[in-house]
Amino acid sequence: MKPASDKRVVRVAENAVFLSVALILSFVESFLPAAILPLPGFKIGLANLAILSVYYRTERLADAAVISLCRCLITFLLFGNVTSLLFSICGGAMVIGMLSLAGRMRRLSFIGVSVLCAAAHNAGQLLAAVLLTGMAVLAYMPALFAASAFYGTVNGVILNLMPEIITKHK
Amino acid sequence: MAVIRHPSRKLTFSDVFVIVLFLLAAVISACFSLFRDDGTSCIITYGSASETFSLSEDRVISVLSNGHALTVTIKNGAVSVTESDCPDSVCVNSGSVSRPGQAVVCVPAQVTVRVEGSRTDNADAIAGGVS
Repeated sequence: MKPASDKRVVRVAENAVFLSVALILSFVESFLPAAILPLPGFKIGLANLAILSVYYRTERLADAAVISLCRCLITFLLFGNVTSLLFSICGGAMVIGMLSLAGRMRRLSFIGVSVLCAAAHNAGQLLAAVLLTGMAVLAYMPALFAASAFYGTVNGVILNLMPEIITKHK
Repeated sequence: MAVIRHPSRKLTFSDVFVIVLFLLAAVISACFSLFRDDGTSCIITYGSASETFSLSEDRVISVLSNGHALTVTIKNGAVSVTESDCPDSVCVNSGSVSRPGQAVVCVPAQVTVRVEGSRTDNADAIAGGVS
């Protein structure tokens, strides 16, 4: 095999590991009570950890996008909830969009990026909810902002503390 | 493949700025619904149909939508979803709402319960209305 192919194979294999991690994190997260903050329906978004890690590790937005999409599809295949699929895809798409804008800012640490991505994810899900149930859902906006700030910070702190081997580009 | 600049690993000033910004946004958008008069009626939307109920009399309403059954209770001028067979139970945990603009939503059932109207509006309607 030519060396260039080797690199690609390694990249695919590593991304696959992060994809598995993202799936496990989503699964574990579904068991945690939503009551740490009394905000209805907003989860911690641990899968974002994996997506962000993939983005910074490979420095390719496309990789992060593919991993995000695969996570949504596999979760759908495993648990079969179409509404969830729509919500995940909308949330994931917004995260990728946000990463393309804010992922490169040096002035932010992982905390800031994480808060912004959490907000993007929740905003995407809120948009999906509006599509499904109408404008009344916008009443959840304050909860959205507060939840993004809180859970994004939690995720960001975790990312900040992660050993460099995970998030550093090789 | 563009080389991107990685974020730092320590809390920066911009981080705090972003967090504070979002918390402020939360507070500000919450003010819009918290500091208004109590609502007078609620609109329950299920699927493509909707019905309006007055908040002034206590009642219990059963809603069947999208394969799910919900129980909506109006009590003491506030409305809440008291029971639901949806997988999330987000709607049940949302508590009760009473001010215009506030809403309780059940996404699996495609049901929204939204509070409308305000006491002052009603007073004008009654005082100035021509039958």
